Amino acid sequence: MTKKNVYYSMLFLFFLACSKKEPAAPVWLNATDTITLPTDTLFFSSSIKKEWKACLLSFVQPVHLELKPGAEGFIIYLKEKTGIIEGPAQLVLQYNDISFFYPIQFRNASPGLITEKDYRSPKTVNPDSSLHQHRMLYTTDQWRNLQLLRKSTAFFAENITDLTTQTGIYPAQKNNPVTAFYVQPGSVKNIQLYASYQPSNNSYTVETGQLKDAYNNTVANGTNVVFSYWNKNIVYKMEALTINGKASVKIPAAEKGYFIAATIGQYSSPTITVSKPS
Amino acid sequence: MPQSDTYRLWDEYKGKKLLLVALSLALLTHGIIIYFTLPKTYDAFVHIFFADHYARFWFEPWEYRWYTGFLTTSYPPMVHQAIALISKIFPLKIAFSIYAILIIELLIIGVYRFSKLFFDKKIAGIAAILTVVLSSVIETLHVYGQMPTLTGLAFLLNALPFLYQYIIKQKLIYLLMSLSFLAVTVSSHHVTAIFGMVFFIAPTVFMALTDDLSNKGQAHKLPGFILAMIKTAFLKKKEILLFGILMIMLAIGLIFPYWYWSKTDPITQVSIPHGSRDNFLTHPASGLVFFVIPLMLIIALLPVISYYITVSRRFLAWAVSFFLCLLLGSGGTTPIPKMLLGDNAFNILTLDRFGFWASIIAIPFIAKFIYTFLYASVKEFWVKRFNTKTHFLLSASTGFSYLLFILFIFHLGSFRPLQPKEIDIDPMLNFLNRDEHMRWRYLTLGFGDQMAWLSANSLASTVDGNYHSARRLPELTSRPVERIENAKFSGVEGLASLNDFLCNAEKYSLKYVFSNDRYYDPLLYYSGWNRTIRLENGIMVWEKGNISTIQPIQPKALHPLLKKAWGIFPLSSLVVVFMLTIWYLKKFKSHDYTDTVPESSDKHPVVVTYLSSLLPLLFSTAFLMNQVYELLLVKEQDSPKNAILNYYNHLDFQRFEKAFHFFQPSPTYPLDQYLLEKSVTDGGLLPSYAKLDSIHTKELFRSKDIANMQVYTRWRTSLGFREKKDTMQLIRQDKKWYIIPTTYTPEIPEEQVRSYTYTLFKRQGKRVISSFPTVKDDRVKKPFAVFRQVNFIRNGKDNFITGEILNADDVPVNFALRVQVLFADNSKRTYFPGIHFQYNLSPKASTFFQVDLDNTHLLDSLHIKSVSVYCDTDVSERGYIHGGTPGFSVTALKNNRIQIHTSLYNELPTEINIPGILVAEKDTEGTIWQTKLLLHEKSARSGLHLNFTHELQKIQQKAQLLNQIPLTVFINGQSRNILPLLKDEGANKNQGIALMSHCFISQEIYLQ
Repeated sequence: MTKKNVYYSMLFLFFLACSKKEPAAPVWLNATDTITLPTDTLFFSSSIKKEWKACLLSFVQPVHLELKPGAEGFIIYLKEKTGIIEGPAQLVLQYNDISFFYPIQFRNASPGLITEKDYRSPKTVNPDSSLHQHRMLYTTDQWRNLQLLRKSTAFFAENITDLTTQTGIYPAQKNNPVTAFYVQPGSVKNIQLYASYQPSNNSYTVETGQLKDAYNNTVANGTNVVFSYWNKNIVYKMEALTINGKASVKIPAAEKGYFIAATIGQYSSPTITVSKPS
Repeated sequence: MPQSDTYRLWDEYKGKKLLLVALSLALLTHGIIIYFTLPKTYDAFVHIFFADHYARFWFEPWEYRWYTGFLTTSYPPMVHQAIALISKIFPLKIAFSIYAILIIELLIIGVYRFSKLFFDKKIAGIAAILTVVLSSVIETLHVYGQMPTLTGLAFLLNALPFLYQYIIKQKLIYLLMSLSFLAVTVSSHHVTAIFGMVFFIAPTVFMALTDDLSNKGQAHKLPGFILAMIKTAFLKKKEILLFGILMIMLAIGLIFPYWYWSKTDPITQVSIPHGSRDNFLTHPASGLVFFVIPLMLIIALLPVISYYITVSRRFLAWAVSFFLCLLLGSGGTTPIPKMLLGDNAFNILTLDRFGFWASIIAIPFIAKFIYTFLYASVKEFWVKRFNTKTHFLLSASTGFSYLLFILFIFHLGSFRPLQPKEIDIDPMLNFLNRDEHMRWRYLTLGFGDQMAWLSANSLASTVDGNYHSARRLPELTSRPVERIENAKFSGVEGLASLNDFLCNAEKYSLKYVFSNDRYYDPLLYYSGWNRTIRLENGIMVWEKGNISTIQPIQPKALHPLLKKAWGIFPLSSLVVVFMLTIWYLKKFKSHDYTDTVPESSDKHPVVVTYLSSLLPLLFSTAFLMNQVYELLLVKEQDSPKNAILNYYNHLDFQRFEKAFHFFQPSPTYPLDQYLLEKSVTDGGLLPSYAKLDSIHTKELFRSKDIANMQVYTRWRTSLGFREKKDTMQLIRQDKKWYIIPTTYTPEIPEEQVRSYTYTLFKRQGKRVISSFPTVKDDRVKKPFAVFRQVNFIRNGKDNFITGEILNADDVPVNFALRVQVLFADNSKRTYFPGIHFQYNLSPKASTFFQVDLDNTHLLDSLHIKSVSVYCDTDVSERGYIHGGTPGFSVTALKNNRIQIHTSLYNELPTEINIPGILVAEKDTEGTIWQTKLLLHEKSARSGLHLNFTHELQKIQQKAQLLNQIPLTVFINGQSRNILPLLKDEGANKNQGIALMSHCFISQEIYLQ
C-alpha cells in the first residue's frame, strides 16, 4: 500500500468518526393540554440548551416563539404573542433538521372586543314571495374565535322569524347598518288611471292613482308603467317610472282622442278614453 | 510600396471613415426619431409586450394575458430578453429605443462588412451610408418596428464574411465566428434564419467557391465553369458539411422549445389577409406601402443592379437570390410567388420581407453605382458628354429629391396614419387595479397596436392579443381576423368575431371593454353592454353584468428543462458572440482580410448609364409630385360623379367644412346654415356610427350645366351592412359641379322647454374599506325575475328559443341569459342571446327575447335530450331607459310578409341616436314565434316624431313549436315555473305583432 492510499484511508475514517449525535426529545416540564397566549411560559429539559427553534403550528398560522437557554434546558416565552385564531395546534421544537411535535390546544388569554353576529337570510324580502327569515346568531371575539352566546351554553342559535308586511329597513342589531334587512313592496294590486287635457301645451296628462301592493305598501320608486294609448289607426306605448307611488305621462293631443290603459308587470288598469274638449 | 498598394491603403482608410460617418448619421437620424416613431409602428409594442413578459417571468414561458394564455416559446426570445434586460434599468419604451439604436448600428456595420465581400472598402463605406437612408430599412424600423427582423439580418450580414473566409481559408476560427453570429440570428428571428440560409448563405458559399476557383487562376467557359465549381465544392465538402451540420444543430438546439411548440401545437388558423399578398396593380395602396416605398431606389436602379449582378460569375447566386426575392416581394401581382411558396406558406408569410431582403442584397451594387456616378466612370461620362455643371445639377437634384422622399417615409405614420392617436394608458391601469377589476378579462376597441402597450403595463388579461400565430381560440382562428380590437377593418368576419366575444362574454370572463371608437357603440349596447365610466383620457368603459371571474387555466405543459433552456441559451448566444468578437479582434483579425475579393470594373453600357443616372431623380420626383397632387391639386368637382364621390369621402371622414364647399355657393346657404341643418337632420346609425363601404352613382339626367344623380351607398356598421339610396341635383358653375342643397322643413315642437322625470338608482355598497374580498354583509341579493313564456321554435334550418322575461323586483335588473342544450350523448352546448333582447329592465318591466341555436341538421344529428334556459340577475344601475314612445300599425302583404309602420315619438329631452323597436311575432294564444330588433338609421330629435317602416316575414305558418323536448327554466340557479301563457289582445289586433322601444341614446346621462 502506498503512502497516498494510507492517507486517503485515514481521511475516510475521520469522516466516519464525524457523525453527529442526535438529541433526545426535550422533556416538557410544565406540560399542559392548553397553552394560553401570551401569559404562559414553557419549560423544557434537554441536554442541548442552545440552537433550538420553537414554533406553534395551527391550521391557519405559524407562530414563531422566543426561546432562551435555562438551567435545565431551555424556556419558551409566549410574550407578545396575542390575537390568534384558537384551536388545535402543534408545538414544534426544532434542532437542526430534527423536529419534535407536542400536540396542544391554544387559546387567547383575553377575548378582546366581543362581536355578536346576527345573520338574516334572505336579507331582502318581498310580500310577493315570502315574509319569513332564517336567522342565525353567534358571537366572536376580537380575533374571530367563536364564543359562547350570551346567557347560553351554545355557540349558535337559529330560528325562523316572521316579518312585518310593512316596507322598511330594519336593523337586526341596533346602530349596526350592516345587519339591516329589508322588506320591499310587492306587486301592484290595483291601477287607477286619470287623464285630462292640458290646453297650455296641447297634451293629455295621464296619471295613475297611488299604486299600492296587497299590504297597502306604496310600490317601489322606479316601477315601470307602460301607458298604451291607441285609436283605430295606431297603438303607442309610452313608458314611465313611478315616483312616490305615482307615474304620469304627457301625451301629445290628437283630434280624435285616445283609449288609454296602463300596465305594470302582469297587471293592467281599466281602459279610459281621452279627447280634446269640443 | 507600390503605388497601387498606397491607393488601396487610402481606400481602406476612407472606407472606415465612411463607416464612422454612417454610424454617426444613424445616431443623429434614427437615434433621435425612434422614440417618437415607435408608438406609430405596427410591431414595436408587440415586441415590448414580449419583453415585458420576460422582465416579469423570465423562466416561465406561459403568458396568460393574451388569448386566455399562450406559450411565448412560439417566438424566438433573444430580442425580447435583451430588451427585458435593458428594461431593468430604463423604462420599456426607452429600453426598446436603446436596443433599436444598437441594432441599427450593428446593421450598418453588417452591411459594411457584407459589402466588402463584393467590392472594396470605399464602396462598402458608401454602402454603410446608404443603409442609413435606404427606404426599406427606414420603413422596417420606423413604420413596422420589426426589431427581430432587423436583429436577425444585422447578425446574419456580420456572419457572412466569416463564412466566406472559412470556405476559402478553411480556418476554424472563421467557422466559429460565423456560427456564433448565426446563432444570434436563429435566436432572434427564425424566419430570417430559415430564408437566410437560402437567400444569403447559399450565395455566399457559391461566391467563395467561385473566388477560390479564380484565385487558382483557372479560367473556364460556362460548361467548364460549372464542372470546376462542382469539383471545388467537392473539394470543400468537409467545410460545407461541417458548417451545414453545425448550423442545423444550432438552429434546432438554441430554440428547441420553439420547434417543439410548432410541432406539438401547429398553426391551423384561417389565413389573415395581408396587403403584401395583394395584386399591387389592382391594389395600388398595398403596392405603394409594400413595394414602391421600400424598393423605390432598387426599382430606379434596376438596370445597373441587373448589369452588375449578372456581369460577374461570382455574383451569379446573388443574382438568383436577388431576383427571386424581388419576385416574391411582388406579392400576388403575379401567380409565381404562390406557385413557388405553395398555398400554405404564401398565406402565412408576409411577403414584404422578401422585398426587404432584395433591397439588402442590392445595397453593394447601388453603392458601387453611386461611387461611379459621383467620382468615377459615370461622372466622367456625364462631364465628357455634357459638362461638370450638368453632372453637378443632376447629382444635387437626385440627392435632394431622394432625401425629400426619405423625409416623407420618416413621417409616413403622420401623413397616412396607421394607428389611432396616442392613448394615455394610466387611467386604464388605475381602473384595472382598483376594485379587483383584474379578476375579469377586458377587451380594447380602436386602440390599434397600442393594445399591446396597455397589456405590457398591466397584469390584467384580455381575450384579444397581437401575436397571431399564438391564437388558439376558435372565435379567432376560424375567421380571417387580425385582432378583435380592430374588427371593423376585417369586414363582416371581423364583426362576427367581435360579436361572438361580446355575446359569449361569460365563456371568457370578459367583463370590461375599453372603447376608443364610437363605431362599436351600437353593437356593444345591443349586445347587453352598459357604459360605466368615461375615463380621463376619453376612453369609455363598457361593462357586462353577471360575468364570472377568471377561472384558473392549466398552462400548456413544458418540461422544466426546456423552460430553463429557453431562458438561458438564446440570450447566451449574444453574450458568446460579444466575447468571441473581442477575442477575435485581439487575436485573429488580419489586415489582408479581403484580399481574396477581386477588383471590379467601372464600365457600364451607355443605356445602363443613362437609365440609372436619370431614373432615381425621375422616380423620386414623380413620387413626390404625385403626393403633392393628391394633397393639393386633385380636381374634385370636374364631373358630377367625382363631385358626389369626393363629397361623400369628406363626409365619411367628418371633414364637414370641405364637404360644404361641394354645395352651390349661395349667400343664403352659408356654412353655418349647412352645419345647423346637418345637426338636426344628420344623426343616427349611418351618419354617426358607420363607415362608407362602397358608393355607386347613376346618372338620371344630364345636360351641359345640370345633372340629376342617383347615389347608392353601402355603409358598414357594427350591426352589419346598411344600404341607402339618395337622389342629388347638381349644377355646373365656373367649370365645377356643385350639389344643390335640398330644402329642409323641420318639424317644430310646440313646447319651449321640455321636461322629463325619471328615477335613478344607486347600488349602495356596505363594504368596509379593506383590500380583503367582499364579505357576506356587502352582498346584494339577486333580484327576482320570472319567465312569462319560453318556446323552442324550429323554422326550417333555423332553431331558436323565444320567450318573454319579467323583472319581478323593485330594482332595475341586469339579465344574463343562456340556453344549454343537452344531447343524447350527454354533451352540452351553450348559447347566448345576441341583439334580440333587452338586457336591462326597470322594475316590473319585461322584454321579449330570442336565442339562436345551431342549425337543424346539427341538432338532429346530436339528438336533443333536453333544453335548459338559465337566467342570472344582478342589480343594475344602468341601461333601463330604452327611450321613445313607439306607435305602430301593421299592414299585411303577400306571402306572410307584413309591414310595420312605426311612428316614434321622442318624449325625452335628448336625441335618440338609434331609434329601434324590439318586435315579437305572437299567435292568437300569445306564444312568441320570433323576436327581431329593427333599427332605423336616422336619429329622432327630442319632442319630435319619426316615421319609419320595416318589413318582416312572419313564420308561424311554416315554423314548428317543439313542445315535445323537455324545457326547464332556472332563475339564479334555482328551477322555476313559467307563468301561464296570456293572450295579447293588442298583438291580436295588429297581425300578431307586439313591440317595445329599444333605442340607443348616446347621452351618457341616460345611463345606457
